[in-house]
Amino acid sequence: MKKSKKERVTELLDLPKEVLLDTPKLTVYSDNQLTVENYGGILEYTDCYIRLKTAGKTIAVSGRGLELRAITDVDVLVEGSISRIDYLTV
Amino acid sequence: MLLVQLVNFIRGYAEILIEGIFPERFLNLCARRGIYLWNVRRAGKLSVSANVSARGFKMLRPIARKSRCSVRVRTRRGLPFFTHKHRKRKAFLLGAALFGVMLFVMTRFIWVIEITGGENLPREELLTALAAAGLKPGVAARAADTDAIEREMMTRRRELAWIGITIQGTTARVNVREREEAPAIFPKDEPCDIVAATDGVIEAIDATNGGRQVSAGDVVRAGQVLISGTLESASGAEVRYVHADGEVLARTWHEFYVEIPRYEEVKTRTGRAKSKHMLKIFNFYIKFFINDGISYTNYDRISSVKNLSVGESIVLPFSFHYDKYYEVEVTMREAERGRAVELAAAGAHERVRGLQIIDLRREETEDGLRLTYECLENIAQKREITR
Repeated sequence: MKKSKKERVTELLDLPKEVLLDTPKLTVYSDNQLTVENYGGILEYTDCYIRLKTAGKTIAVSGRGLELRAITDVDVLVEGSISRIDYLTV
Repeated sequence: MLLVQLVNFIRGYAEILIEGIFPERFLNLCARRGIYLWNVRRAGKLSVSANVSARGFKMLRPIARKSRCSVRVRTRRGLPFFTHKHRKRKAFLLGAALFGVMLFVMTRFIWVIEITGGENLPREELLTALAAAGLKPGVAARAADTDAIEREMMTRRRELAWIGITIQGTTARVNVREREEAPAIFPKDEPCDIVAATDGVIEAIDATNGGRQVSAGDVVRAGQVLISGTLESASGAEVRYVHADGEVLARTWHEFYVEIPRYEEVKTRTGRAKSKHMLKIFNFYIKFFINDGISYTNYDRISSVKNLSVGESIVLPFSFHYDKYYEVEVTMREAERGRAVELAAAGAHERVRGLQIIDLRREETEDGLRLTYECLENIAQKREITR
């Protein structure tokens, strides 16, 4: 896959990818907490399934008792029992 | 997380229920417009519950319309709502405000003085000296100039080698170091005699300066001149004074007699007890009992004090005193002899520490223990010559 100009610049300067690009950054603690930075929006939210829009693929989180502990413009904090995280190409 | 909760509480927030076919759209719009939502939970097929700040709540109406959702407030929480609810209760508000002011004012003063170190210095004296220097319970923490107090203490109390004062909250921690007295050194150029420090039998005598007066095997009394600093010429006409010096090793006896009690007191609780409670505010005691004496002839008193404090260093001048009086019956019991003897011997042993012990004689009688230590020690002691 051919890399974009922006991507090449960030790699050249060793910048964190989520800063210049809109790449989502996921931080997972065990199976009970997930932070998604640089998300584009919530597509679907139920207590067992969440879909988040990002610049690239759609992130789908499955589990039980999922809650959105905090929602801000740039990140979303999911808590609950997470069973899987999928990247969907729609 | 606790801090975040505290901030949310102070600012006030509402628990809302968002109902609609597509509540996700509502959430996205909130995020886009900078309205912080937290604890978002699915409440039902068509509803989501969430928390929103009081300020954010006011901006929800256009978002609700745009996302075709309805927003209902379930509960309002936090300080703004609480004060709003109780705004008509003037006395309550006044009390709350007064509490805040009092707490603030109280924490500006020093209420506790903690002294560490200097185990041999009497605490009472140190406290009175500190009070005279300007540090006592009740002084304003800002007014207490620790450097000046330290200096004043150092000049006033000779026995201090060092003093450090730190003020933390309402507690002043005072760290003291005791000065160790320098041993008295007899000036080298002053003439002196060497005398016996204690009674004994001379074992060996080594005079580096002065005239030897005794020899090995002699029995000497305490104070007797062993090496003289007064030197006479052969004719006896001329007298010269020197600084006598040397070591005199002698056999000495140290006798200790310890009484061994035949009976000892045994206290047993009868099961009857009384308790008294007191509240101490500054230096005033408020008693929670009618002033009746304790009628028990013998009793054990167990006191406990609970200080009102915020954290460890912010101690307020309020404390709760709790005294419990247990009635006890005192009976005499034959003392356990072995233990008493051990204790007596240990005490005696401590006093001959550092001496070379040659022999130990123990004489045990019905009511006492006599310990005689035979030791080898240097009994040389310098004494000024009185001309």
